[in-house]
Order: sequence, then structure tokens, then C-alpha cells
Amino acid sequence: MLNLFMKYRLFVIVAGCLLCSGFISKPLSSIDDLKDKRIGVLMGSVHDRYANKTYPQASILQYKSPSDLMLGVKSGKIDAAIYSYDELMQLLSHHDDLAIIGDALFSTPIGMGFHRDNNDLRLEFNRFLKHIRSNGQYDAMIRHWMNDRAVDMPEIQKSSSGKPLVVGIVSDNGLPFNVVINNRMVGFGIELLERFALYSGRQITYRDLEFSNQIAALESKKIDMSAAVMSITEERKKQIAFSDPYYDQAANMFALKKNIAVKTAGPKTMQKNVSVSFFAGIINSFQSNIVQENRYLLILGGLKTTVIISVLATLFGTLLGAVVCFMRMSSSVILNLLAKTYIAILRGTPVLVFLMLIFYVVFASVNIDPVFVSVIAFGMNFAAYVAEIFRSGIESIDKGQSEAGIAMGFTKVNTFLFIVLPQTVQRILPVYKGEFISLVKMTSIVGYIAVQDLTKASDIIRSRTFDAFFPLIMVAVLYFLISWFLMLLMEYAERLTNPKLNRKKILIA
Amino acid sequence: MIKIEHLSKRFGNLEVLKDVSVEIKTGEVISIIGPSGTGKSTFLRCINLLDHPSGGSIRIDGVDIMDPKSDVPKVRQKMNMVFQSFNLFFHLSVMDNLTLGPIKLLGMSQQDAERKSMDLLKLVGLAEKAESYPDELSGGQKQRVAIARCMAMDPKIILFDEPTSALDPTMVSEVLSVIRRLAKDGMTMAIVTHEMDFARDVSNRVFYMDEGVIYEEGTPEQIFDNPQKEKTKTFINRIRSFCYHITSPDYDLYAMNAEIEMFCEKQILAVKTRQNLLLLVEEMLQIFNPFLSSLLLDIVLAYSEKKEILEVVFEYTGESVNLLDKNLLADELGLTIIQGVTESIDYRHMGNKNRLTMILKSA
Amino acid sequence: MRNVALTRLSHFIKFLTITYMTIEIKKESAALVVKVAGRLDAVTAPEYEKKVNELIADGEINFVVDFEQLEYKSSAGLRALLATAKRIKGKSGKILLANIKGGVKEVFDISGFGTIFPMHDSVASALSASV
Repeated sequence: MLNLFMKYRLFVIVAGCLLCSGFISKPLSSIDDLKDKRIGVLMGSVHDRYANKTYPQASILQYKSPSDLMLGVKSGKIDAAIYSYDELMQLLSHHDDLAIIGDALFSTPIGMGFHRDNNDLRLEFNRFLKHIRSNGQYDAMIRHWMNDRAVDMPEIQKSSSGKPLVVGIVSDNGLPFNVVINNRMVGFGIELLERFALYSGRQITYRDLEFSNQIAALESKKIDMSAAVMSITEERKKQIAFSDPYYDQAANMFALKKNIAVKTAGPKTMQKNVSVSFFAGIINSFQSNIVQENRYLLILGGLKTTVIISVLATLFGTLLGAVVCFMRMSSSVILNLLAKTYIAILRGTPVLVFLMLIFYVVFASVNIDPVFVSVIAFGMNFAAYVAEIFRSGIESIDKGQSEAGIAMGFTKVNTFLFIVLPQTVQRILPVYKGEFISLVKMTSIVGYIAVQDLTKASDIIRSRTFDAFFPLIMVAVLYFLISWFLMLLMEYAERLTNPKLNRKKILIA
Repeated sequence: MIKIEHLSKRFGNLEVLKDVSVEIKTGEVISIIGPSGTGKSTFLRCINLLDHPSGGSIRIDGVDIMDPKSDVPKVRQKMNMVFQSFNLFFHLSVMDNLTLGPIKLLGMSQQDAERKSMDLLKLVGLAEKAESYPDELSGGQKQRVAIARCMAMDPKIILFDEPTSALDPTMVSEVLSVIRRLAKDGMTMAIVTHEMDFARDVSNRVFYMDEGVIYEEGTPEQIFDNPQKEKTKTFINRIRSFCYHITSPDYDLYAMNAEIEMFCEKQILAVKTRQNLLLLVEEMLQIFNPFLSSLLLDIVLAYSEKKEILEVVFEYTGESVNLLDKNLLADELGLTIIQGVTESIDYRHMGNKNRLTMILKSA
Repeated sequence: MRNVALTRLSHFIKFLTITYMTIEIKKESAALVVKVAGRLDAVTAPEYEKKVNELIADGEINFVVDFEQLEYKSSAGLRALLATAKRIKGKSGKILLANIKGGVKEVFDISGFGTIFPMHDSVASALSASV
């Protein structure tokens, strides 16, 4: 019996997984059915706390962005998820394979987040809120965004000068609050902010941060205000201050329609699900992911950012690496030790952790462009590797050549510059190439500190189309193209520095 | 031109150079010979401060190069060095190897430097390799390029550190002929070498270095033909020797035979030679047997690789008497055999010792 | 250092395993064949002499000495040979030498002993001559 099990253990394991994955599961008829299932929530949100408290037996999976949450439900990785009512209604109108289960779970007030000491700004916002409530502006906005489910932004005057205001948002939160359409932010939340800016004579800069990072960003004064759709809770009040509530929001549970036994009537679907051929499907995807709403502009912007960070970080990292290498090879014990420590720390810490440390801790309370911080962080990381690559290259050049240079009358420095360095560069170029391309791919994490790079662009698109396949493939292809193009550049450089290859060309020609 | 006084150099605990004082005048070609590990290369490398001396002083054209204030790179430009391992610049063509120094250090123009380098390449016979790269050249060619590279800087003196030691015999002569040419043209040179014939030919002074000092110096004739000091002689003739002391009649014939056989093996002597040697020694000892309780006997074997001569010396204490004297022998059998295997027998009384020197017949 | 030790060891083993001289006796109709192998030098010669003297005492008078496997002979060996030959002659016997070659032959030649003894190329030829 055991033998049989061992023989077919792979099959048994797979079957077990499928069972557990709910592939062969009973449909859900009410919220109670979920008490021992897998429930998804937005990390750090009030839904998160609620789910953990109310469903102790269930597995609560925390997602970093709303798009990932949707994706989780759609791909069957979770049985159900909790999200805000208004956003859900918008969602369901575009996706008829999702539906709400049961009634609203709870309702909370929403407010803008501020640093605890920033009373002036907060009170000013409260005054603004009172102002628009009294002059009917607020009601008009509610009608426009919540009731009519509009997708268009009214024209609001923007002041070209004014006090700067850094606002944290979650770009893929979803309508009615905020979403990216035609390469610009639209939604109730955005309109609210822009009107406030006009009212208080300010100029807004948006910082796109993950929901779970918004509070940390406020506390470290990276943002002056958070417009993430954040519920006012006692817990949060301990860390930040809230404005007066500007909305009340319910939370609902939702899941794939096919897993629900009894469906609550949802809004009429606006999109027809027409079965299409594979090829037509690709064209469709292309249409929706790139062309519609000018999403390709997002991609271009992200591409530009990725390239800028990569190139600048490489330049900075190479120069810094040369300095560290010099220190590492010097005869001074102190310099040597410093260099060794630097290299060990930078190579031993994950770049992501290092990046966040630099942004939130080292540069806390400093209003600094996160792109600049990215360049520094990646540059420092790159420098540690470059230093060691340089060193191995230099040490691989036989000492005899240096001796010949010195015997000829070159100073130590000149011997290095004219004799050792050209050969070192030639030798290390292959490895350097590899590290450089590695760096380009590592920059995909800068979204964590609110830089809108190529990866982030794909996230935003995904949050609109809820298509997992196309945006991801597209971005993967783009990263590949960047790497490939850079690889060609480096190979060209390699040919330039290898004089023999050059010469052979001349002979043949 | 170069004045060295009490130069010493130690590496950690090892004192390689103890006390070297010497003067090198302009136009001289000096060969430095000696056994391996006696500091010849170190001495040379101290002259241009590639190795930093532990003590002493070096003055080049009056400039004390060990003074931290003196511009050593500048001084080095007028000296140059040819290395055992060639040390060409790998990333540059032959032409660029030659022009690098003149352009960057002497401020020559590219054209002038190339023209001059081309002339030098013609001199060493490698004009057609001007655009080749070091890894495309043979050892001999590389060394010739290295010499041309030195010449490109118009040096006053060139130091050669075992220039042909890394070359296989077929390429040694091409390099030596270049060096000979330089000597003929009057270049001041100091050459560390193992090529004795060459050193004898080309130099006007020879230093034999041993024990961390210049053990003996002189003209080539003095050093090669008539070395005065013991170690010099040994080195020049490349004599290998073996000594056995007999102190009593209870010596172990077979133990001694074993050591003699080992010596023969090391010198790769013919079997016949070995047999004759053993025979000689045994016969001698038979003759000496009655006297061994009252005298000390030393047997010294000396084999000259150069002359291929095996010399056997029997040195014994006691009163002045030639124990091989016919009149003293019981029978002449032993003596006959001895005479049969030797070329010559020589008796001498020196100081308080009797010495019988015999030369074994060659096989 | 290692070479020295190894050679010493090999010599020591040789010493233990091979005596420097061996004597083989074979009685033929015409004479007694004494085969001497190894070295006949100042150390081993007395042994040789003793052995042959014993044989003479036993009544043998015709000897053929086979030098095929003798590697080395010095004056001591020659003297021993001479002494035993004198003894044999004294008993009106004969002594013939066979298979003298190489270094041993040279010693005979140098010392002049080459003419004193009748020398044969093989034991068989010596035996036939001793009849």
C-alpha cells in the first residue's frame, strides 16, 4: 500500500493541491461559508483588520495593490476578497464574472491623512471641506462620481505657482476615487484635491505609493497629505491625524460569480463577453492595454524613467566603485577596512531593503525626488560589485608589465593609467556587462518608493484592464529589449577596446 | 656613473645582499655571474629601485636615488631594464610598445617616435613585426622587442636581468647577437647571465657574486681563466666534490662504497669509471691499512664537469712519507693495479699533510 | 635528502638479502666447479680462501673456477686466488679459470695475472682441458 503511494506520490500531491485549491469545491451561498476559506484583503487596510478579527479560521492573504487583489480573485488564488463598495460597483460593471456576496460587512468614514504636527494644513482642509459642502460643490461631485459613475474630469483651474503640496495616492485604487485614464489621474479624490489646491493656493505633486506605505510616508514627512482612500480608525489616529471625514464607505465581500450559489443582483454588465479566436484576442488585448485611453503614454513614461535611473545609477556606481576599489587595494589599513566593510554590507543587503532604508530613514523629513534616491541606492549597490570586479581585473594583469613601466620611468600612477587600466577594462567588460543588465532589471522595484517606472506602468494598466497576461508580457518584452539594446552597446564598446579585433577588421577590409 | 656603497637588502629574515660596494663607469659592460639565489637579480633591481634596499647608498650621476626628495622616475628614464620574462605591454602593438615611453615621457611627437622606433626595429631585425601584438611573437622576438623598447628611450645604461634564461636554446643566440651589437656600439650595460661564453666575450668586467657580496671581480680573463678564490674556482669549473674521512682501521668499506656510488650516480659517471674508482679506493686503503690507527686519512673526489676529469686526492697526516713508495710496499700488486687505472699520480708534502693526487683514466 | 635515505636503504637491504659473495660447488667428473658470484675484495677474499682450503683438505685437486657472475675483484681477490693456486699445485692438482670478463678481466690484465693462469671461455672448455 505504501509502495503504491510512493509510486504515485506526485499524482497524490497534485490531487491534494487541487482539492485544497478549491478547484473541486462547494459553491458559496453566504458570507459564513467563507469562514474557513482563503480571503484576500488590501494590506494594512481596515478590511485587513476586519478579516483577521472576524474570520480567525480563514487564511487571510494580504495584497499590496488593488490590481493584485482583483487578479487574485480572478485567477482563483483566493476564494473571495473584501474591498470598498463604490470601487466594487465600478469594477462589477466592467467584469461580469465577479459578483458581491451578501450584504455590506461594515461601514467606515474616510478622511485625508496628515502628519500629527501639521495642524495648519489639516485645519485648512477642514475649512475647505466645509466650504464645498455649503456651496453645493460637494453634492455635485458626489452625484457626478458616485451616482452617475462618470469617468471624465471637469476642468479645474490649476495655479502655476503656489506653495508645494505633496500628496500620497494609490494610483490603481479604482474609480470613483482615483484611477489613471488617458495618462492622467481622474476621480472624486483627484477632483477634491485639485479644488483644494486652488482654494489654498497650492501646487500639487503626487506621490504614488502603496497603501501600506502611506502612513510611513506621512510620518517621515515624505508626503504632506495622504489621499489614499483611508478609513479613520482609532488605531491609525495614534500615528497620524485625519481631516474631517469626507465620505462614508461600506465594505463588501466579492468572488467569482461561478463560485457563488445565490447571487445578489449586480448592475447591468456593460461589456459583452464574446468568445473570440486567439489571434483576435491578442489584437483585443493590444487594443485595450496599449491603445485605449492612451495607455502607451504610461509605458513610454515608465520606459524613460527606467532608462534614466539605470544609466545614471550605472555611471554613479562605476565611479564610486573605482573609488572603493582604490581604497580596497591601498596599503592603508583604515581605508582597506572601510572598503571591505562597505562591500560586505552592500552586497549582503537586498537592494529593496537598502532602497527603502535610504528613502525612509536616511532621507527622512527631506523633500527629495525619489528618482534621485533610486539613483543613489542602486549606484551604491552597483559600486560594491564594480569594486570587486575592478580589483579582480587589476590583479589579473601580471606584475611584470607594471615593473617594466616603472623601470622605464613612468610614475606608479601613469603605469596604472597607460598600462594596467586599458588591459583591466578589456578583461572585465564581459562581467561588467552582466552586472549592468542585472541592475536594469533590479530597477523594477522602484515603485516601492513611488517612482513611476516601467513595472509600475504595467501595474497601473493592469488595474484598469485587469488583464494579467498582456501587460506583464509586454513589460517583460520591453525589459528584454532594453537589456538587449544595452548589450549591443556594450559589445560595441568591447570591440572598441580590443585593439586586435579592430585591426583584424582593417586587414580584411 | 653609478656608485654603490655598502648596499644591503633583506627580505624579512633573509639577508640577500650583505655589503656590496662597486662603481660602474660609462661605457663599461659588466657581467654578473654566480650561483642561483645569491642576490644577482636583487642587486640589479636595487640599482633602479625596483626593490628598495635596506641600507647603503646608490648614486647615479651624482644623484642619490635613495633620497626621498630625488625624482626617481626621471632618473629611471635614463636607465632601462630588460627582464627575464620580457614584460611587453600586452594590449599594445610592437610599435606602440616602443613609442609609448618616448611619446608620454620624453614628449616626442607621434611621427618622430614612430620613425625612431622603426629604425630600432630594423636594428633588431623585427621591422616587419611592427604591427604585431606580443602574443603573436616567439620568445626570442619578444626579447628583441623588449631591447628595442629600452633603446627607444635613449638610455645611458641598460640593465639586463637574465635576458636569455627563459628562452629555449634556439632563440638564445638571436638575442645575444643584439646585445653584442649594443656593446660594440658603446652602450653601458650590466648583465646578469648564466651564459658564460657570452659573458666572457662581451664584457670588460665580470662580477662573481656569492654570499651576498661581490665575491670576486676582474676582467673576463682573470675570472674565467684564473679564478683566485675557492668558490669562484668551483663555480667556474663547475666542480662537484665529495669528501670521506677515515679515522680508524675499522672503517666500513661497504658504507663508503655506497656513498661513492651515490656520488657517481649524481655525476652520471660511466659504470667503468665507477668500478675503477672503487677499485682504486680499495687498493689504496689496503696499502694504508697498517697505518690507519696512527693517522687520519681524507679522501676527496672532485669531478670537473667542464673538463670531464675525475680527480682523487688522498690526504693524510703524519710524517712526511709517500706510502706508495715501491720500497715500502710488501708487494707491488696493489700499486700495479693503481697505476693501471690512473692517468697520473702526484705526491706532495704540504704543511703538515701528505697529499697524493691521482687522476682517474677516463672511460 | 630522500635520495640519500633511499640509496642507503637499498644498500642495507642488499646487504641483508644478498651476501656480497656466494660460492656454488658442482662436482663434475673431470674437476670440481667452483662458481664464485658477487665481489672478491678485501672483505670477501678470506672467506673464499677458507672455503677452497676446506675443499682441498677434502681431497679435491682439480678445480675449475667459474667467474661468470663475479662483478668485482681487487688485489685481495687476486692474492687469495694465488694462494689457493699454490696450494693446489703443491698437491699436484690443476686449477683453471673460466668466464672471466669485463672489469674483472681488466684487473687481471693490469696486474699481469692474465698470463699466470690458464683462462677459458666456458666451463665446458675448461673441464675438457683439465682431463
